[in-house]
Amino acid sequence: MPFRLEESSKSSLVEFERRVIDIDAANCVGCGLCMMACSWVKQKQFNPTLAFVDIQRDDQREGDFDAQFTELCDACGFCAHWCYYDAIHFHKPAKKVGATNE
Amino acid sequence: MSNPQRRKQYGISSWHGEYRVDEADEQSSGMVGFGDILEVDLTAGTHRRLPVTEAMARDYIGGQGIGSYLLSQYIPNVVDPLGPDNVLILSVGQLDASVVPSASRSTFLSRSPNPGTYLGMSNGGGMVQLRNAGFDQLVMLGKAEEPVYIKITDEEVELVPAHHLWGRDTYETVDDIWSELGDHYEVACIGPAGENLVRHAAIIGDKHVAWGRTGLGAVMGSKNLKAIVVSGTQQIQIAEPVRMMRLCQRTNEEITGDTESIRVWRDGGTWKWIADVEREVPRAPSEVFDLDMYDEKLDHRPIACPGCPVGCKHALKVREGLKHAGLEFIVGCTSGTMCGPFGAGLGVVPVEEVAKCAEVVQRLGMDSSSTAGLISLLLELHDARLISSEEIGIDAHWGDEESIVKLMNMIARREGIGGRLADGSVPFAESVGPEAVNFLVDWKGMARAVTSSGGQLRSEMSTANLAWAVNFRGHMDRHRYPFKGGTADQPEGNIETLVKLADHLGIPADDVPDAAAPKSESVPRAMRYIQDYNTVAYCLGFCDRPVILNALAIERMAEMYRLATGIQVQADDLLRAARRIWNLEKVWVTVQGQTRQDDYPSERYFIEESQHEKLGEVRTFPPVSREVYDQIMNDYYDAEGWHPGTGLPRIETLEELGLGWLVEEHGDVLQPA
Repeated sequence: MPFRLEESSKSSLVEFERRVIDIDAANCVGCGLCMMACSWVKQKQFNPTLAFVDIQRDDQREGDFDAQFTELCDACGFCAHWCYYDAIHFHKPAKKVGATNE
Repeated sequence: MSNPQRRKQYGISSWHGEYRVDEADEQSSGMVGFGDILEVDLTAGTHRRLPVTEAMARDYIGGQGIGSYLLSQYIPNVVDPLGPDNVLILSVGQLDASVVPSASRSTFLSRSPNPGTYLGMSNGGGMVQLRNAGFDQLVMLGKAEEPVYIKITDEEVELVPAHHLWGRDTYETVDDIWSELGDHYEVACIGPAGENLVRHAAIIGDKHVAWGRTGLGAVMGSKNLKAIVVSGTQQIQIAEPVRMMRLCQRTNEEITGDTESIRVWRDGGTWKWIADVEREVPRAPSEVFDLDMYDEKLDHRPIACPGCPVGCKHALKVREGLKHAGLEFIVGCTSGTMCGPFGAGLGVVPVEEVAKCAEVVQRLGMDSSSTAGLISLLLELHDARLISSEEIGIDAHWGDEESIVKLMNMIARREGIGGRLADGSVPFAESVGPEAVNFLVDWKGMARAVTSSGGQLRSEMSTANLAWAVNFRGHMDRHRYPFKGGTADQPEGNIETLVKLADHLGIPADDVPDAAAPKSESVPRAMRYIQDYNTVAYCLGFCDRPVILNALAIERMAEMYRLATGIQVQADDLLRAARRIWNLEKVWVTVQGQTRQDDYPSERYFIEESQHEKLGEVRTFPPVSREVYDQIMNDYYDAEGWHPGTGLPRIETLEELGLGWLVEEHGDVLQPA
């Protein structure tokens, strides 16, 4: 579901406040549900062009996709919930050893 | 009552009174997320934007339903399918381009140019960005003077000269447009077949989406319209987004929770589902029936339509060391485009050669089922010595990929005998002689699609089989969920499934089919409910893969519609609207000339027995009894509220559905003297 996104630097792994999210383009089938979910949770709009995850056609091979996060991604993990193809993986922050509520 | 003179100018104010929009400039506040109607006049090179009114949405749901309504308004009388007065409409499903699972389907509508077919309607997954650009419906009128393509973005609608694309195949056309404009554009285009007005030409999108059957590529060709390209960046409005997100996530989890089905769809798409799960196939020697061979020879991976959690389309690459090594392309339906027509239908044995045939037919822009049907008709006539090799012009025989590819090129370019085949199977058989007509296996002038056992009408009727017979556009996948038994999705037989799914489909308690009654009685009575349910699904843009529809009870669809649009309708209202759409289409095809006789298949079904293989056991089915078929049709028409004798809708039925205006306009056709 390629849409035109603004040019920005992109990466396939984002770490933010100890949350980690990574994307495996080899598993991406281009459904675009992640873009839809992201644009809603971050921008309160159903509009993939505003998403912080970017799925584009890969011109190297028919049916492959180039899947990356834009620089605005804060690794919230919402898109991983909406990925049914095991392409986006969300790693919850590990608990600090010895951390308490005190 | 409309004024025919004004209607002739396609004036919106001449539409049926209730939908007058001159006083309602904007959508009423009670409805959310409806795009506009974009009317492009190719003759004048102009366009305008017309709103969808709330009354229209209430009566025709959205998407294909409103598209059918527009078709009836733009084409009120008999029209020449390839003349400038024919109108091509692209309707995008009402929930498309949102988060709703699998909602990504769009429908092209027109008067079909295929001889014997009336309603031109074809459904594919794509062009959803039309909604992001602000439009739900695209209406194309007239004929451009020179080849053009329509370019639609948020800001503008443009007719772009397309001389440089004319003559290019569908893959080249898409590549050219992507390198001109960027590959975020969705492209629906025609190939050489559409340009040459081949009567079964397809519209191909993004190099794999096929709006295949009923020959709408030729309608585009007749309008000098090479392609429609669209890119939108606007948001899709949802009335209650939070609840919608929750409901969609739950639905997605239900769909993907059926892990066994999901595995099958992603491993091999529609073909795997038929060959591995249904395990009931027409007999043919092709390797495509051996799924290990399929995996061994093809490097394949799933691709999804926008918003779909299933992913049944496939990107294929022929492995090294084989003929056509390195050939790569995407096929939307591995069954309908590839393995069915060329493996099962024409008996091409090696998988890589079957793949080559599918690639060529997509490049040329033809409907694969009709193309394979025509070639098998030709080969049968050759076997029966009714047509000679000299007349064919090449040495063609069953299972020979090279001659099949040559024949496909001849058809698409109307060379030699291809020119005769390109005019459709019925005229071709008639041109060969009266004996040749007995070889047809057509439904409404369209060759039987060898996609599954549902392709064979047998004495053992199911709703899947009857759906082939009674839908308005001939033999194709439409309005047939739930499938007959024997699948991973539907473990029981057809009637048992129907009884179990009565609530799911919205069948009223007192009309639930009796499992003990003969199928020839219960099936036609249940058919109208299945059509209504499926029509709702099509209007909303849902795909008809059983794994998806299994999660979409009619109540669930109604809830999604409410959450998306804010229009407070119940499931019953949607089903009633679907029935209205079905009857509107029925009147429209009747006006175009379709009669009860068109609901009958070719004579051959009544004469010849058919063989199927299930789990290695060959079963022979007797020919269909004409008496039984007559009775089934009578029962079906009666259940629909139509006259059994003529198959024409009863006036009371139309009036009850609020279609009394059709009676006023077409009384002469509906009440023949």
